[in-house]
Amino acid sequence: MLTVTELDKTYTSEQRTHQAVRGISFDTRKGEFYTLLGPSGCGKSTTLRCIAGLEKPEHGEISIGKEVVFSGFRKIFVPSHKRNLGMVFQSYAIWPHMTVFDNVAFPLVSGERKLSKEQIRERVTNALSLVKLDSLASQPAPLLSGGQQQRVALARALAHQPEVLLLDEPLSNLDAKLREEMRVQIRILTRRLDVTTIYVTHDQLEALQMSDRIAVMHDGRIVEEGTPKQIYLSPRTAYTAGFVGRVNFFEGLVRTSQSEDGMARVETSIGVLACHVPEGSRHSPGEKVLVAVRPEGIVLSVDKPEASVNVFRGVLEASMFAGDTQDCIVRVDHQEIQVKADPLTDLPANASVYLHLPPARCVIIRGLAG
Amino acid sequence: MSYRVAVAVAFLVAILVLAPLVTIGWMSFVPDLPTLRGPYTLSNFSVLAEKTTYQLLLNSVIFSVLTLVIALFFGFPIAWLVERTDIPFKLTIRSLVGMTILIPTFLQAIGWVLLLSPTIGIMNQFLTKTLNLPLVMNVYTMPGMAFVQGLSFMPIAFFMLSAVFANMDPALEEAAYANRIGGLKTLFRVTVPLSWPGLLAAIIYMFMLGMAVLEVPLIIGLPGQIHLFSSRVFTLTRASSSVPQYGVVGATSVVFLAVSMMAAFYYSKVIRKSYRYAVVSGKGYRPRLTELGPWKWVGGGFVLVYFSLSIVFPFISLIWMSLVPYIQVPSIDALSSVSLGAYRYLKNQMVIESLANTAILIFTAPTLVIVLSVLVSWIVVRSTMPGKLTLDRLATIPLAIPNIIIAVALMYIALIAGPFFPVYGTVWILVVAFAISHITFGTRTLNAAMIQIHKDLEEAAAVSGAPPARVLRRIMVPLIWGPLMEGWIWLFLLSFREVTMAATLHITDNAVLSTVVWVLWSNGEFDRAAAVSVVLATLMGVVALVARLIGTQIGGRTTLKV
Repeated sequence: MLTVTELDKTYTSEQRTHQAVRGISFDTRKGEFYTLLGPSGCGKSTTLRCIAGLEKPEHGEISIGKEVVFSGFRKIFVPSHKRNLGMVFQSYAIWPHMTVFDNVAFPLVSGERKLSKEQIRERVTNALSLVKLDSLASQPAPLLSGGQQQRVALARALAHQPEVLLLDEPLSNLDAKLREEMRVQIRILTRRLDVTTIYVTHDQLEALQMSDRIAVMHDGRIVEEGTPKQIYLSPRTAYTAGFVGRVNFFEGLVRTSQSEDGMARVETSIGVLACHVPEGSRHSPGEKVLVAVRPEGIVLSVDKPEASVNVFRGVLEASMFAGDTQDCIVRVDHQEIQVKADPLTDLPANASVYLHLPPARCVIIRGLAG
Repeated sequence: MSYRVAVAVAFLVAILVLAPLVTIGWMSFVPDLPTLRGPYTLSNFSVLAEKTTYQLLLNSVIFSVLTLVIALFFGFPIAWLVERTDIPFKLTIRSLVGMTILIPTFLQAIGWVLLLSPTIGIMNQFLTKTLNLPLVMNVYTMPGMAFVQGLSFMPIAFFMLSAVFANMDPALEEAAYANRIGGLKTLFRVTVPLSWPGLLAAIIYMFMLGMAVLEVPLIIGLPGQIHLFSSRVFTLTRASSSVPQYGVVGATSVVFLAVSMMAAFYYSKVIRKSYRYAVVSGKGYRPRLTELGPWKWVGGGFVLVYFSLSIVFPFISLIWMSLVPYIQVPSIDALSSVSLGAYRYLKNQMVIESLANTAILIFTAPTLVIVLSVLVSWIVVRSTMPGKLTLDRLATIPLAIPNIIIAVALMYIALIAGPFFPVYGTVWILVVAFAISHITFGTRTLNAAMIQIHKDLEEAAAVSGAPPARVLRRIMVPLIWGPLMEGWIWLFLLSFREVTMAATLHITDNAVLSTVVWVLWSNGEFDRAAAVSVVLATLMGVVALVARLIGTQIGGRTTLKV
């Protein structure tokens, strides 16, 4: 549906040049919810703005459906207003001089297709009822709350039934509770309308919950792309593992590659770790690798667990009760390991505890980079 | 806005701004009548060898300096009183000062001539004939001219310094008070030095304006035999005895322009520096107000003196003059000759025509300036067009061109390129001249307004399918409507009081109301001139009041080109 190929975008000012986007490529299916995830300054918003036509890249190609809207090589640049997009801005960008109705109607009266008054009224009412704001149609826009403005922005972006919906950190200005609610709302809405959505965020939880696929970005590049499960459970880079949630890293050397039990053995500073090797991945003995284990993947117990592999003894350094979990730091030899323990377990300070790292949660990451 | 439109706008601005400069240069090389064909000559520049040229320059400089001294004498204390003390009626003082900008200086000048002319002046007649005192106050002198001009520049000093005082961190003054340093000492040791960059900017700005003004030099300077650059350029273009000496005008103007450009350059440097000096502490402080106590009567008295001199005296004398057939000291005898006869002149063809011309000018000129400025500012603030900063700088050039030079250049262009620019002797040449001279104000106002508008609001419209022209019309313009209208009304009022260019470009059919006053005055028809002046001032007052009621802040701007 939306295809981005080898996109480059450099900002030049008098003082310096900054290459914000370096050769980004990705492809989305019709109706897919695709998220660009990364810290601020990674180029995700710039990529989105290039897709929207608000920035002009130097190289690469962007096509929406069958239409090429940008091609550096063929010197094609279709301006924003001819790209048939819907976009929600971080600031919502609700026009304060118009009513809610006029805001949502604007794309319909501005577009090239001419619609009758009744058609416009019907579509605006539809769009507003999608976001449950039908009762506020005649309100002046500045009187709305943040959450309502956000929904108006969404209705406005969807009113003219765009081929692609672009969302630029739309939830970052909402309070936590509202944000959770809107995540669900947006996801339901985009699925129902089957609109291809590009979502930009720095919030990994948002990305994991909402996306069909996630592209993790760093320094103008896509570091890794995959489904939320792939990205979270079996990241292929240390950067992804570290950015998407918390993680313990163990440096080590592969001792035996995949043996009969389907596991590889890695020698680390705390001992030998048996690690699950996903399909199609291969490690050779002697290779330097990083093993990533998420805190919630580790089982903490006071008594010795029954498991035969990956059981270590350590000292509880600290524990913090967090409601749904206890965040613990356990020292094994000289390595501090973050663990999420059951909130009901009674843990005295400096207790001696056992950690079990199930092999399925031990992910081998090639190379030490990042 | 498509690329092509943007380029067209840029070209139009370049032509409007550069045409007067190029034309002045051109005419200085042409010997006699305006022509595009040669021969060219350097003989016009013989003015550079004449002693009178330097005498003119010296006179202009003395006049400007004296003028700004007078303006600061009133402006500095009154700005300080309003911004930094508990003097009552601050709002009233502010708006009255704002209104004073709008009074055409030549009305004040006429008023003061009627009062202080050594032979006919009412005040002098009273002092010398009735009280038998020696003549001390003669308006037809350099100090007399500077006095009248200074009164009319006071609002500029006032507003520029108000901004400085309002932004000054009161903690600095408080520190002085806390160390038991008295009020006056604090004023001179702390307040004045701290406001120096702003004060310097105001001084240079007023100096520039002083070099360029025409009204006082015409009305007081000519009969007083005190010639300045501006009045010299004016008289050269309309030498009644022979052919206008455009070549000499050109050469003289080149010198004039050079001085003005240098001052403008220095001004922009000081302005940039004063931003660095600006004390913006960020925390929302309320400036500590000096309690005047009984001194407020002195302060209030001082403010009253200013308003009496700038408004009350000249206007009472104008009204009186409009009611009597010849200048006389008000007395029981004189009252018997009071009549509204002079006002009958308002039905004269020339006045009616001038009213129509005035209407055209005050509606089209501000609109032209605003439309052009919206386009220019939008390109400068929002587009990625290469060279947009050059365009922005182009738009500031008119600040450095004296209005009379813009007028002379346009007249010359109209004479040599009539078929392409058929505006000679019409009100439209005045509209164009006004637009050129005020594009700086327009673009500064709208740049500031547009920068305030969040870029997302326009981008959201573009993504919604709106082409650039529609984004401008439906999003940007409505969002800046307030400052845009404020700018329009301000220009509307300024165009109403415009006289320098109107008088310079006046032929026969393109008189506006202010030109009528000038023509009548120079014909010696004082009562009629006064009657039209009173009407002009009344109209002005009504319009300004209406504008004020609409909610426009008049006179809030600091860098006005008046």
